[in-house]
Amino acid sequence: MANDEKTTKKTSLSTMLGNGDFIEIQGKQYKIKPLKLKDVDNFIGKNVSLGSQIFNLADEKSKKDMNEWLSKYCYDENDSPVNLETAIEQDWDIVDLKTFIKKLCDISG
Amino acid sequence: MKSECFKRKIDTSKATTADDYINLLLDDDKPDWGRIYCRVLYHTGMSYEEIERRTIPQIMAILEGAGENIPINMGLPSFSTPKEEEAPQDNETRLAQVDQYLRAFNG
Repeated sequence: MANDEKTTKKTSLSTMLGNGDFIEIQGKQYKIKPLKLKDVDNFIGKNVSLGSQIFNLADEKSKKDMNEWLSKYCYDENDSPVNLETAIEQDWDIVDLKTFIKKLCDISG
Repeated sequence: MKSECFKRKIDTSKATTADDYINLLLDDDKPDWGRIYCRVLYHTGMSYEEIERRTIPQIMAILEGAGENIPINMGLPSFSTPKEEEAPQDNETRLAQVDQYLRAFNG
């Protein structure tokens, strides 16, 4: 059953460890971890806006959802989870939120 | 759409409208998680509960390494592009400002 064809695509160690990848926001490094399988359906089902981030902050429910994704999958330089409150304190702007969402999608397969 | 369904050997006996065909094609694109779980369990010593704690890239790497050609497409968009020079963005609206603005509407 083994496929003898040589695959050209290599999987990085960080992918297998689930370590995630880094992004820089407002001069600071943040680690973004990939979505776990158990959260993928939920993420897609909640229709997180991938474009304008205003929609992800428009009401309490959307903010709560965004908070959930941030705190589960975004960590600061001290390895502490980032939530919406922290992001505001650390002077994130709308584009930074989009950067986070884009990175999360990119590394989650 | 009908020909695409035929090409993919999808049963179209119950499809009558264009929407039906679209839905059949969308369903066909969804990964077969039963098969994926089965192959991961077969090839690894992983427990059933452990699988949900893995990420899609991890599952794909495991299946590919085991010679299983099972596509996993959850519909998550990919934003990866070749390195682009992004125009520096000053004056972007801060989250705090947006939050304050939206609170005025939500009461």
